[in-house]
Amino acid sequence: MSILHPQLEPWTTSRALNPPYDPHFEARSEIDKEILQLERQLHLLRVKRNSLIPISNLPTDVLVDIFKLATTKVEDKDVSPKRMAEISWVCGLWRKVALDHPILWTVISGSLSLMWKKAFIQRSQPAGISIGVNHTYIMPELMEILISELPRIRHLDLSNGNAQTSEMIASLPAPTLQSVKLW
Amino acid sequence: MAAPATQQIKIRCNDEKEFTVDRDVLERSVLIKNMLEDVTEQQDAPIPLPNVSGPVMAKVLEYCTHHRGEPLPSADTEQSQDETRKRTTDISEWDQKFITVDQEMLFEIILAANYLDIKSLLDVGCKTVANMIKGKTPEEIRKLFNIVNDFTPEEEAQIKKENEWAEDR
Repeated sequence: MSILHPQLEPWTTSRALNPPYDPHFEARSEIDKEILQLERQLHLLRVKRNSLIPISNLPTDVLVDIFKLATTKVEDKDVSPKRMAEISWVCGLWRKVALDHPILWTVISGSLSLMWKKAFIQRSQPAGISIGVNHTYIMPELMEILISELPRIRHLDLSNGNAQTSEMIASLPAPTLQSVKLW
Repeated sequence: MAAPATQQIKIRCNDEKEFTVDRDVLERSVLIKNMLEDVTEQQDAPIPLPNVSGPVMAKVLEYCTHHRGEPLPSADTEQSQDETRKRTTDISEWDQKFITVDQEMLFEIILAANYLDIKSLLDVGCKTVANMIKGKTPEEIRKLFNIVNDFTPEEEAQIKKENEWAEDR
């Protein structure tokens, strides 16, 4: 009868159910728990530290106003269309304030990617929006979005779009539409 | 004929610092203006301002004195959503020089303008901070305001995902 080395033994159900004894398993688990606790503590300390800096004393409505001004496109200075998203990547408080205020996501530039357009549309609910389309071919998904969001679109810029599609969209009922730029 | 004497009003800040100021200067603050309108008799006791310190009030009064006599924005001229988005971040030369202060003072002035309800000063403060933020990456903004990254692992994961949306069309 040949005796196989334990590591060469075929994988059996009984072996799977009874894994080899790991003498450090419990010690590792304890350390993992401790790391998790320390990480939570560190997070809380960072939040507390951020609450003690001067800008954190500003009331939410003032911070919202600052964000609005910081994302406003001024003629001579170009502002990234996803500037609001970048502001929401600064810290937990700024992210919460940004995501809690639909008004901050209402300018949806034509140069934003489809994923970003969808995010802005979702985050701006239910406020009125300004939206632009920069492609001559409007993807069916974007077309569906434009049609479903028409009731809250205030400004529509289809100047870079395809003439036929643009006219079709512009012919649909849009109760809050104030301006439309066509091809 | 001599011009009628301007009424002088006393105010007291939270550090007991007192100022005696011309009424029209103080009335740049809608809060104080309303307070004064509610008082029918001449009062000698200073108006307490528990949310403003002496050094900050001195700066606020410098602003109010420079802008005395200018029309106040009326309460019902609330800007529409679109008008708000069209606001520029331009600041006049005098205001820009006035607001060139350290960050702590800048935020104190904004807080005081908000509490005292001085819209034009609040606007100058907000525009200044907005201009500081413009064109900076999240990391540069953190550095500027001494903010640390305090996101939870879940928020970090979501932000990483959002970063990947950046270039798709």
